[in-house]
Amino acid sequence: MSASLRAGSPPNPTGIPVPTAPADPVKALLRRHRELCARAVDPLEIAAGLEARGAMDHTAAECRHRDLFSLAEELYARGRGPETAPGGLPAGEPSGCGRGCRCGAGDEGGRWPAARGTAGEVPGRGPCGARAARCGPETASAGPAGVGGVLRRSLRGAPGGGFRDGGPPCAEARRGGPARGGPPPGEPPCGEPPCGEGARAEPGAHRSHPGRSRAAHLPPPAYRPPGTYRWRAARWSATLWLVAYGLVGDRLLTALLAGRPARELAGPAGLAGALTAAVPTALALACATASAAWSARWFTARVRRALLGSRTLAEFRSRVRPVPVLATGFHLAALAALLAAGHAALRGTVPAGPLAAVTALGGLLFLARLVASRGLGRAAAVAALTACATEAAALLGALLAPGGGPLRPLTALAGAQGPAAVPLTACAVPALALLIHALPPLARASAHRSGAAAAPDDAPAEAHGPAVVPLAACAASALPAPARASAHGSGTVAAPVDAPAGAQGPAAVPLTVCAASAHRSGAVAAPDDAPAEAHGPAVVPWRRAPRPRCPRRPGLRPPEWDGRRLGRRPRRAQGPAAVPLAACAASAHRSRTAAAPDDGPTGAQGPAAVPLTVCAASAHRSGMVAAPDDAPAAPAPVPRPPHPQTPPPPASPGPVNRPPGRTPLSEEQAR
Amino acid sequence: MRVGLLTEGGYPYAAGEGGEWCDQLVRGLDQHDFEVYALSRGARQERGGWYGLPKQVRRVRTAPLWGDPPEGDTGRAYGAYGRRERQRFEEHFGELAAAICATDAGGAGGAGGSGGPGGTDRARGGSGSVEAPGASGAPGDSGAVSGTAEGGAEGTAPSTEGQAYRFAEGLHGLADLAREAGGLGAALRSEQALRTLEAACRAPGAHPAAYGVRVADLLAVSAFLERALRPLSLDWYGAAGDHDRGLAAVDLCHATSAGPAALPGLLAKRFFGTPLLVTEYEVRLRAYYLNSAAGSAGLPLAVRTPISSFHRLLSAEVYGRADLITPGDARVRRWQERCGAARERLRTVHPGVDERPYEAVGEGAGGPQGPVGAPLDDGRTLLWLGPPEPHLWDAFAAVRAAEPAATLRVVGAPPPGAEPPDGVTYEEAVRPETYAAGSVVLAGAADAFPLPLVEAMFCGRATVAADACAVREAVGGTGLVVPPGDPGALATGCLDLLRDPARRALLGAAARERALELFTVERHVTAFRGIYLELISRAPVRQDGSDPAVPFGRAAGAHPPLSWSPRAASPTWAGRS
Repeated sequence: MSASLRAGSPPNPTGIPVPTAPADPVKALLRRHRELCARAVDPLEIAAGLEARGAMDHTAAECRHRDLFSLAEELYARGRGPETAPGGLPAGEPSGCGRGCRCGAGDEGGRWPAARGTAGEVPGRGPCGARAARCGPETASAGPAGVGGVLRRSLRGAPGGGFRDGGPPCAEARRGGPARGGPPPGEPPCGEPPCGEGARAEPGAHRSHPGRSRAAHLPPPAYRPPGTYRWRAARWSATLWLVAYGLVGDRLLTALLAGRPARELAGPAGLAGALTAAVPTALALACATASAAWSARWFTARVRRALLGSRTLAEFRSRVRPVPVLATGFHLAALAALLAAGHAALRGTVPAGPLAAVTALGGLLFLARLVASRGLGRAAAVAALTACATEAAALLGALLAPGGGPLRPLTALAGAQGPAAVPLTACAVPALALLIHALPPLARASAHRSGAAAAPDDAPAEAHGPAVVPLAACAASALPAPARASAHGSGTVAAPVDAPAGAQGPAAVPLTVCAASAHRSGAVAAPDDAPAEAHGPAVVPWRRAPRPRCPRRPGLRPPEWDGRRLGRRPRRAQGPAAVPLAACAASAHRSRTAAAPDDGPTGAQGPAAVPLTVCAASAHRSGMVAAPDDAPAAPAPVPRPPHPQTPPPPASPGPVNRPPGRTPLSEEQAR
Repeated sequence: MRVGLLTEGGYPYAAGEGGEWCDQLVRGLDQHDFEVYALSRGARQERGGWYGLPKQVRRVRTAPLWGDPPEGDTGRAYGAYGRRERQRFEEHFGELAAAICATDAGGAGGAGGSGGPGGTDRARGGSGSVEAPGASGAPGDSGAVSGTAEGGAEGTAPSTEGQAYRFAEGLHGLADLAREAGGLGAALRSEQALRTLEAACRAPGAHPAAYGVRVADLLAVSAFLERALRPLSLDWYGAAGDHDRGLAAVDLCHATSAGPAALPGLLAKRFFGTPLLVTEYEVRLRAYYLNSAAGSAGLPLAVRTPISSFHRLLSAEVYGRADLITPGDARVRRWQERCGAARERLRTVHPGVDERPYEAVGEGAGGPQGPVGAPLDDGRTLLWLGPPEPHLWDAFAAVRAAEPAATLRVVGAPPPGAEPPDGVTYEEAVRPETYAAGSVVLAGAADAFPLPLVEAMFCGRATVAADACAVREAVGGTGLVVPPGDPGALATGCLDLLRDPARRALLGAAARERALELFTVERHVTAFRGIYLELISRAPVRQDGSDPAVPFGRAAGAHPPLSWSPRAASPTWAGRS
C-alpha cells in the first residue's frame, strides 16, 4: 500500500494511500477474455475457459474472489455488457419480438437475445428498435467485436437499423466476423457427439445467405427420416412397372381389347411399332427428370427457408403447407409441356388422353419419391402399388375376357374412353390420395430434419432418389462435365474419367446411354448450373451411409464387422434400370439414326449392353437404316472404379502389443 | 462380484481417452467379473478397434451415441405411441424440456444481475440436494428480482432445486416409459416432442436465449436430446426373468464419467437398486464446455443454452445419485463439489502409473555417486516434457547465459522449418532412458493430471514444473513449482537445481518415494478394490440375485429365514424385565 511513493510519482498530499492494484481487476480480466465471456451461456463455461487459459485460484484471489467459480460468475454477470444494465428490468420477462423479427438469436454484448424489454420502448416494434439504436455507439467500441458489429451492419444493409426479413441474425454476422477465432473444426478431443458432428465451422459462413450460414448449425446431413428406406423394393418395382406400362401399355391394352394381340405385337414389326410409339413419351419423361429435380430442389429450399425463418411451429406449418402442392404443380406443368412438345415435334399431333395419363404418371412418381424421402415410404409404396395393381388388372381383364368378366369396369373404361383412361385413372387417383394423405405430415417440422440439414447441393438428390432413375435420362445434365463430354463424343464409358463415373457408380452406364440417345434426338438442354443434382438418383443408395444395423448382441461382433458390411454395400445399388433404359435408348436411337449416324452410342457397355444389343438387332431387322458402327459389337467390360465412399479396410484393432484375435469375445466366453 | 463398467467413448475402444486406467483396473482386479457397457462416439472410434480384453471381462456391449437412430428402434414413423403413452411422454418430456430451457438458476449471477462474491455460497447451497422434492412449479425468479445479493439468493435457491427436481422427474419418467413401452427415440424425433420443446422455450420462466428459438433450432435441440437420451432406450436393462439380464445381473455400476456414460448406471440404480460409483479423471461437464468452445462455436445461442443446461443438470443428477464419487485430483473434486456432489461421498483416487519400466532408472539414480548413477546425471541436461512453450526459450537462454554447458532436450517433434536454438535437441518419444538423461525435468502447464511428471518422479529426477492443474498435488514438496509462463522463475529454478547436486539428489529421492507411495498402479487398483467392497457391503442384499438356471447357485444357508419383527430384532437380556 505504500508503494506509491516511488521515484517519479507525485507526492500524495492527502495522505490517503493509493492502491497499486487497479481498482477493478475484473475489468481487465473481462477485457482480456471478452470473447469467452460474450459467448458463454453459463458461468461454468467461463470457469472452464479461464482454467484452460491458465487462470488459477490466485487469479481469483487477485480479484478478491474465493475461487474461480465465483470469479466466473461475476464475469458472466458483467459480461452481458451495457445493454441490459441500464434497462432496469433484471431477469427476463422477455417481451415478445414480433413475427419476422430476427433479433432473437443473439446479440452483440452477449447472450441475451435482446428480447428484454427496456423501459419506454415502443411496444409494437419490440426491442429491436431499441437495440438497433443501441447498436451504433456500442459496436464502435474497440476490439474484434466492434469489427464484427461493423460487418454485421454492412450485412444488414443500413447502419443501425433495418432488420431484413430473412437476413442473418446478429449472432451469425458476429460469428463470421473476426471475432470468431475458434480452433479449426474437426473431431474434438472429447467429442460431444451431437454438437461435434453437427457443428462445422464453415469458412463462408459470413455470407449473407441465410440458409447457407444457418445450415452449418443443424444436425449432420446424413440423417434420413426413419421411414425413408422402408418399402424401398416395392417402390422400385412399382416404378419400373409403371414406367413400362406408360411406355407400351396403351398399345398392349388396345391390342388385347381388340382381341388380336398376336398380330399386333408379335414379330419384329409389332415390337418396333410399339417402341416407336413410345419414343415421345420416353423422351418427355426423360427430360422431365430435370423438372422433377428442379421442383424437388425448390421444395427443399422453401422448406429450409421456412425452417430458418419461422419462430413457431404453427408459422412453419402455414408457410410450408402449400409448398408440396406447388412443387407438384410445377413438375406436372413442365411434364405436360414437354409431352406436348414431344408429340407435336415427332408426331405432329397432341393426343390428350396419353398426355394426361403420362402426366399423371409423372406426378405419381414425383410425389412418391418426395414423400418417401420425408419418411413416408410406406404410403408412397402403397400408392404406387395401387396404381400397378389397377393397370395389371386392366391388362388381365382384357386378356382373359375382353368383353366382360369381373374386371369389366376397367375394360369398359378403356373401351369407352380410350386405352389411356386406364393409366390416367390408375395414376391420378393414388397420386391425389397420396398428396392429400401426405400434406399434414409434410407440414410438420419433424419431417424435414434432413431438409434442414442438407447442404443445398445435396437436397435434390435426396428428394429424388431411385424413382427417377428409370425415367433416367437425367440426361446430359445428369452428368458432370467430363462424363458428359464422353457421352457426347465417342461415348466410351469403359474407362471413365476417374471421379465422375466413379461417383455415379453402375447407374452411370445406363445414364450415359440415355444421355447419348437424348443428345442425338436433340431434345436435351444441359443446364450447366445444376451438375450435382442429376446424379442424385443413382447415387442415393450410397449417400445414405447408414450405420450398419447392430446385431442383437453387439458386443459379440468383431470390430471389423462394419468394414465388411460397408465393403459389400455398393452392390446393392445396381438398379434394375437397365432393361427399360435400353429399350428407350434403342428406340430413341432408331428414330433418329438417319440424322447422325456417326456419333453412335458406342457407350453401351455394362449392364445395358445385352438388352441393347437385342433391341438394336431387332431394329436392324426391322429394316431401319443404321450405321454399322452403331450397335456395340462386343460389350466391353466396364472397369468400375472403387467407389470413393467405400471406407478403407479397417485398421488393425487394438493396441499392437496384444493379439487382435482375442479381441472379439466368443459366445462361450461370454457365457 | 460382477461389476458393470460404463464408459462413453472410452475403454474398450482403443481410440478414446480414459482407456488406460480402465485397462489397468480390469487387469488388476482379476477376482471380479466385469461387464463393459460402452457408448461410442463416432465411426472413427468404432473402426479403431478395441483394447485386448482380459478374461475377467465377461461381456462387452456397445451402443452408438452418434449417427442415425437405429432403425429397429422406431415403430411407425408417426404416432408410434398410443394415447396413454403419448400423454406420459408429453408429461415427462415437458418436465425435462422445462428444466433445460429454464433460466439458468445455477449461475445465479445471470438471473439476478448480482454476480458477486456471494454467488458461490448461494449456488452451492442450492444445488446440493437433488433428491429433495422441491417446488416443481415454474422457477420463481422470472419476475423482478431485487438487486441485492440477498434477494437474489432467496429468489434463486428454490429455483435451482426445482429445476434439478424437474429434470430428474422428467429423466426418470422417460426412462420408465422407454422401459415399458419402448420407442422413445421415435417419440423424441416426433412432432410432439418439437411442440413440447417449443412450449417449454416459450414458457414464462424460460431462459431469454431459449425464448428466441426458431424451428431449425428446435430440430437441432431435439436431435441432440434424442442422441443424448439414447441410453434410456437400450436393451441393457433386462428383468429378472429374462434370458439376457444385462445390468440387472450386475452388482455394481462403475461409470467412467458423469455424462451420458452414467445414464445406464442411474437407470440401473433406479430399476434394480444397483450401487453407482462414478470416477472422473476429467470432468465431463468441463470437457463439454471446452469442447463446445472449440467445436460448436457455430451453434446459435438458442441451441447452446438448452444443451449446456442439459449437461449441467445431468451432471448434477449423477453426482446427486451416485453412491460414491472418486475424482482424480483436487481440481476435478472442486468441479464436482461445485456441481452438486456431496463432500462426504467424494474420495480422491489418483491415477496410477505403471512403475516397472522406471525402476531401473529410478534405483540407479538413487545412489549419489554410484557407478550407475554418475554417468546418468551429468549436471547440465534439462529435459522438457510436453509441447514447448514460448517462454521456455527465454528461460533456457537465461540458463545458458549463466551455465554455458547446459543443454535442453525437448520431447516432441521439432517445428518444421525452424532451426533449433543452440544446445537444444529433440526426442521423438519418452522412454525411461529419456528421463535418465535429464538432470532436471521441466514441465509446462498441462490441462490434465501431469502423468509425465509422475514418470519423472518415478525415475527419481528433480523437477521444475509450472503451477497448473494438479501439479502441486502431484509434486508436493519434492520439486520446484514456478508460476506458469514466467521465464525468470523457471530459469532460476533450473539454475538452483543444476548448481546443487546434493539438493537435486535429495529432491529426486524424495520424489521417487512420493510417487511410489501415491501413484502406483497397485495403489490405484487397491483403492478401487476397497471402494468396491465398501459399496457392495452397503448395498442391500438382493433376494433374486441368484440365477435359477444354475444348480446350487444359491446356498441354502445364505439367507436364513429371519423375521424382522421389532421384538425379534431387538435382543433382550435374560432376566431383565
